[in-house]
Amino acid sequence: MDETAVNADLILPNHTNLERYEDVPTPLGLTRPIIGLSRPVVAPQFNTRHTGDVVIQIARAIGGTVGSAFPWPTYEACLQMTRAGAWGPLNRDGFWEVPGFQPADWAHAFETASGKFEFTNAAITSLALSEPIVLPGDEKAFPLLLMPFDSMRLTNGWIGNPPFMTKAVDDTVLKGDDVLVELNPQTASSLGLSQGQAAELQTPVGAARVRVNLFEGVRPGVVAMPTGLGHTAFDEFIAGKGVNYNMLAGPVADPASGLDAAWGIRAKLTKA
Amino acid sequence: MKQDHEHKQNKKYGMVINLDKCTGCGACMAACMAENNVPFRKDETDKLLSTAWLRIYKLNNGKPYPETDICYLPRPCQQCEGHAGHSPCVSVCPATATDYDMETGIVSQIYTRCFGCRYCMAACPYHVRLFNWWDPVWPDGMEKYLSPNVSVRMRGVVEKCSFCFHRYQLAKDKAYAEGRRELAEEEYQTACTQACPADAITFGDLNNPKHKVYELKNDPRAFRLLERLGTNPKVYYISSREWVRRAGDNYLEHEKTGAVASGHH
Repeated sequence: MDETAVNADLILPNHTNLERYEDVPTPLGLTRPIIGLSRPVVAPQFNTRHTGDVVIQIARAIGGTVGSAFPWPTYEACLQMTRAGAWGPLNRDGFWEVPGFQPADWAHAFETASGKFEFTNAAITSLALSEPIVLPGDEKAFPLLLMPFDSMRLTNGWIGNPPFMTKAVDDTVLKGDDVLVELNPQTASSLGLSQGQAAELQTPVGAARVRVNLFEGVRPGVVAMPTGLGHTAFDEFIAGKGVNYNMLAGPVADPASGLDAAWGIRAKLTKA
Repeated sequence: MKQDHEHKQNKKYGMVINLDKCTGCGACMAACMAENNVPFRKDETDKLLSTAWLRIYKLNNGKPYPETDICYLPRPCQQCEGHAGHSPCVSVCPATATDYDMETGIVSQIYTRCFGCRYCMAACPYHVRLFNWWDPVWPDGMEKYLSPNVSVRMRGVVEKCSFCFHRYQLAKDKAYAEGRRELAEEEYQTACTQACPADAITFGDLNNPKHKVYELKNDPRAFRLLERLGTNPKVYYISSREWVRRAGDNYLEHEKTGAVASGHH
């Protein structure tokens, strides 16, 4: 269970992808509409139920027009009926291509005034030109720059790193429960920090205990922190290990789009 | 048990790992652990205690920023032939728990014979051998995933990469049942080779001119780790970068790296 699930009062666990039927709509990047079907290859291993079936059962329990909007006995029956013409090929081939599809012709490919691809549009140019982003925090109090980085042996999204992958993580990234931040030897030397030493990392937003890993590949003045650690949920193999970069970072709004434009935050590193 | 003949006519399974392609993603490590029933513990950050058959090292060229360059180096068991099958670990094992198979060139590890003296760990210059300080424990329900083709190991014994020998046995059984005596290249492949998304690992019979590794091992950029020790490993590495090739052995400043002398064994 992830951090969100831990906060939930009601947990209705789904079958895993190998235990359930599921239609897969056209994946991003395909030029033609193709629907895929995943099929169960093992019986459910735990006390779980297909989320589709759960929705159908809840709708039935509610009754009335909601209940009658879900006339299928099971999700599998729902899939068979709604994919009626495609069910045969879906089960046989695992995918089904929507027949008779014609992509838009070039004259109508882009909804721009010119009918062609445009790098910017009028709506954006009417906004004030972007100013360089100023990171929060006083440069004197926080002389370093904390930057997060993604690494391939740590998942950084909503999935917690599975145990085999965490076992594959280097001891220069995670040691015991401590995350190691990467620091240029020159910067480490100016701070009196040596390889593996514990330190307190502070930003205008928060503070955390870390260890330092000296690496020439990091730009002097930068503290590089791997993403994907600092989980509080899932299991003992990932929870309580390292630090979540997001707890130390603060967003900076891009004046034009309003999206977060900060790729780092000012920071300070002191011997623990 | 220690044969004196060389196995020129037999199979000599080996691996060529292209370090230019390796991204250090760790898929090989995860695939290896899943395939070979390698357990995991809550804290795996002490790598002297952690039992990973395949480990990826991160090398760097030692140059200051921004000239720093890195290279990931996956390291399975090097399956040393040594001289006539006298690989370092095989030579020291008092229990004949590890043996050099002249039929395949694979260094075995027989857990039920091992009594945990760890001489082999001391003898191996590549740190591929791992000691089980604890009995393996899997989270509830996870024991169902264990492969029935690979023994789980108990506390007190040494384990290491087997080049997925059980896959060789299964492929052989299948071939025999079909009246064949020879395996096709794709019939026997290790889990790490198949898991590599970058296609960096190539596996096959180094003695068979039809297998890809036969040509690859003769690449002028190919080298083996600590080659000059005479361990005669069957894992070759390819890198187009001179500093990576230098990192493969302890070279003095004036010494040059060279092409692998493939004819010397």
